[in-house]
Amino acid sequence: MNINGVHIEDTFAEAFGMRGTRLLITGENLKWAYHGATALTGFATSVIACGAEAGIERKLDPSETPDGRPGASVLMFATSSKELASQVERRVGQTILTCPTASCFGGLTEGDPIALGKNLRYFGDGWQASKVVNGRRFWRVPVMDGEFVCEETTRMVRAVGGGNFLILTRNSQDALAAAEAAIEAMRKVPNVIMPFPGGVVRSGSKVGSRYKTLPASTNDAFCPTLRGVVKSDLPDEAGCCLEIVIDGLTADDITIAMRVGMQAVCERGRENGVIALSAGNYGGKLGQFHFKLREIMAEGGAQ
Amino acid sequence: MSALILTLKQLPLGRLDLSPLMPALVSGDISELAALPLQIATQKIPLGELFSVSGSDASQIVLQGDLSRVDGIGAAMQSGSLNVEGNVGAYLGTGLLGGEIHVQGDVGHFAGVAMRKGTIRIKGNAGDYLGGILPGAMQGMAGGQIIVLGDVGERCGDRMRRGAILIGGKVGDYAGSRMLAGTIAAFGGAGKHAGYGMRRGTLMIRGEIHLDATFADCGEHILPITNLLFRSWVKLGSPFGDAAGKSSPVHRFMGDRGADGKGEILLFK
Repeated sequence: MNINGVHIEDTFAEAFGMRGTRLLITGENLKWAYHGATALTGFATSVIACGAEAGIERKLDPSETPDGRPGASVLMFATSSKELASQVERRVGQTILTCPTASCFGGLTEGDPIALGKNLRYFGDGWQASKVVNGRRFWRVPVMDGEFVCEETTRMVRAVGGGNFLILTRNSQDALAAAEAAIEAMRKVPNVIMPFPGGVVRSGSKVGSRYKTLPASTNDAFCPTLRGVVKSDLPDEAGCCLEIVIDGLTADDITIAMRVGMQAVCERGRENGVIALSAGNYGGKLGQFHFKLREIMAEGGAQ
Repeated sequence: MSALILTLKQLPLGRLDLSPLMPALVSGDISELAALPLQIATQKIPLGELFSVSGSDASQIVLQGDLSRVDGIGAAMQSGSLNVEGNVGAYLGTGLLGGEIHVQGDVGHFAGVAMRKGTIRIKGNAGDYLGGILPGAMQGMAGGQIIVLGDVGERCGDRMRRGAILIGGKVGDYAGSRMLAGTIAAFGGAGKHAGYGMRRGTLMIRGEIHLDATFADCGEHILPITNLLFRSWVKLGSPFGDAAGKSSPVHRFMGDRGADGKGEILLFK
């Protein structure tokens, strides 16, 4: 398959089941809502060492938030329900409780409830108070700028993490431009986040390593500087490879995001240095979800 | 099926207790309704002698006639709707478990006492102990919502545990007395001794109020929780939705310091 001079490899992205939740962060203005949401989703690129993968899904208008203030919608994913609950609590406790004027609400209507403000309330040292509004319980914790308002629970659903595709280009500049175009388009897709810096990751990994202590190591097959010495998967013309990783609430959301992103990359085409699109997988043995690039693009109308 | 309509034939001489009606409709056959014995003063009289009955849909009930001496209307109701076209007596919606009660006129004392769920809407005024407590019980209203467009009498929300009472007009003396939790909002001021003995919970008052010395002045603040409350009341129309979206400061008082002292009175504009 070839779209606008870009070769689509006959491969698939391998993704895993995760647990996910959506949080709505509001503040006195968008600036402070984003300070909170940015801190909340900081250092949350990969579950390998961050505990959670998180990102800002989109901006929220005052009409969309429970308290009528501007805000941001955040998605957070972890490998188990226990881990997600723990990450939600410690992250919200350290970043939203602390953020001036910020409030935190659950953003899903279905799923199992996990604690949000349920335990954070004890920071109030006995002065905390709850209020039930339309059947939802909110905690009010006195803090130095007034009150921290936090919903008691948020809903947790089965989600999918690790959808991805690789952008193979002539050089680094072309790769960045293509990846940025993809991310800009994918940010408009609901229910997904791209957790890495700017949505893009350069250190794709393979399973295993020559060192006993490392379970994963650099994906040498796609490292351009090793082309001559390892079994390379890079086409001859390719001098750079970047990966976009997607976590989503459902597999369908990831499919849509992958298609939108890959279409944006293909639109830039060969004339902008894009050589091929590929994907990261582990031979299909580890993840339950396989996203086949050619099928996704064919369903999007590509020949 | 058409709505079940009960029309009171004439104003009874004594108080008529209609509280057996709802339990009878849940457990019994509608055709036996006319035989349901009702207590009036010292006598038991079948419902059919007091009311003319038409329609058969017990999930939407309409009560007509002069019901100002009829007590216990909608008591222990579980679901559906109950519309009352005039004024009613005491104990409206006692122990309400669900559904909606609409009263076009005024209601007497003890409306919504011990209610747990559901909604009571009153277009006129309400008497004393609205959403209050039954004799001997430890807790009053434990959930649901009461909306009154007019004024409310004394001891509103006495020992209230959960839920909300919204009052378009003025709330009388001792509003939220001995309150344990929940929300009472009055948009037309409050009488004396508001929040007397309240332990937790929120009294929101717009307009005139006389505060007891047992409430501590916490100053004026913008509280995000008021956004949530006001916004949830927008669908109830004016005046309840008027304050939504303004994010203006409220004056907070904590008390009753003679009791647990974690309740609050919020004065808003």
